[in-house]
Amino acid sequence: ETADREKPMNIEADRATYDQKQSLGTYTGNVIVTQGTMTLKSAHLTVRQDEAGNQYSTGNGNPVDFKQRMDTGEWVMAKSLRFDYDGKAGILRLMDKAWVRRDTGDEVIGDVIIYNLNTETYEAQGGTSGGKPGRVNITIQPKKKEAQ
Amino acid sequence: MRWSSKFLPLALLIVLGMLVWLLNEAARLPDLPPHLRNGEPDLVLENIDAMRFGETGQPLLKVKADRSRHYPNDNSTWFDNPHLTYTAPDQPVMRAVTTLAQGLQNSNRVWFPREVTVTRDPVGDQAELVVLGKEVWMTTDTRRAWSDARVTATMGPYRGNGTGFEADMNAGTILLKSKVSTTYEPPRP
Repeated sequence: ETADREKPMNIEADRATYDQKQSLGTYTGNVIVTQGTMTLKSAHLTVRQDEAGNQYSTGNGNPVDFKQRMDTGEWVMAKSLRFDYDGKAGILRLMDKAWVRRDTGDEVIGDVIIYNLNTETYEAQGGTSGGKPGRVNITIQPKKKEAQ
Repeated sequence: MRWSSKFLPLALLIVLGMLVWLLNEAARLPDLPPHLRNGEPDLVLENIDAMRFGETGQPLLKVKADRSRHYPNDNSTWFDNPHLTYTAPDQPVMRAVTTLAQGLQNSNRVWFPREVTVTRDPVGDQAELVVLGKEVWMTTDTRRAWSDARVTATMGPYRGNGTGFEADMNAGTILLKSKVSTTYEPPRP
């Protein structure tokens, strides 16, 4: 949900370091991030805050697992090998074998998928690993017809 | 007659030697019991409010404690309910509050066997750093703290828990060794 970013962020991990000067936290091993309805699981994660408190994080996993509920109530699930998150812009960038799926059945596969948390829309870019080389694979489920 | 005049002086010498040895044994003073049994303090102070200064007269360490006991065998000092305030020049003030502490190596190294709160003042835009743990070691010259026990560290909006830690209070870095759980409170818009 768009309000997730104002909620406390909890991070669990096997090990962590925090550097005040850089406002940088580094987490390794079974990393689980929860913030409101958003859950992200990865093997490695770095989180940095700017003075205004906006958060920027990067991470990788085998794969990285992302899940969040949208304002409409639908759930979005995503996977990739790497990710990049810009809390100020509200952009989550999924890279390498990226896959996004809504619980309505819509699905996108690509090398890079950019998910906009403000507009809850995503943009997919092809690449060597997405479906056919250089292509994006999108599946959109037809809306069920109203009963006559 | 010749036999006795030859050996008589020797016999006299032997008798004289034995008498001297007997006299020495008889005159030996019993070993005085050591004035202190091992492990006893040689200095106990109550209601302490003390200050240590550096060569330039700058206050380095303020100690308030209910009691202190100095032990000569390892040159350590135990403090009961101490409030330790470290004010080295060019460094942020650092405080330690606990119920029991042991100062070693001229208090350059401190052991906190029980729960202790170590606080380092804010520095520039770095928030106050607070470490709450137990079985904590701390060096007061290099200002590092570490323990293998459970710890909670708070730095502004960032709060972390873990088992085992290493902290550099001046650099503002902390390593949480295992079972890490952290919370970040974003500032209200």
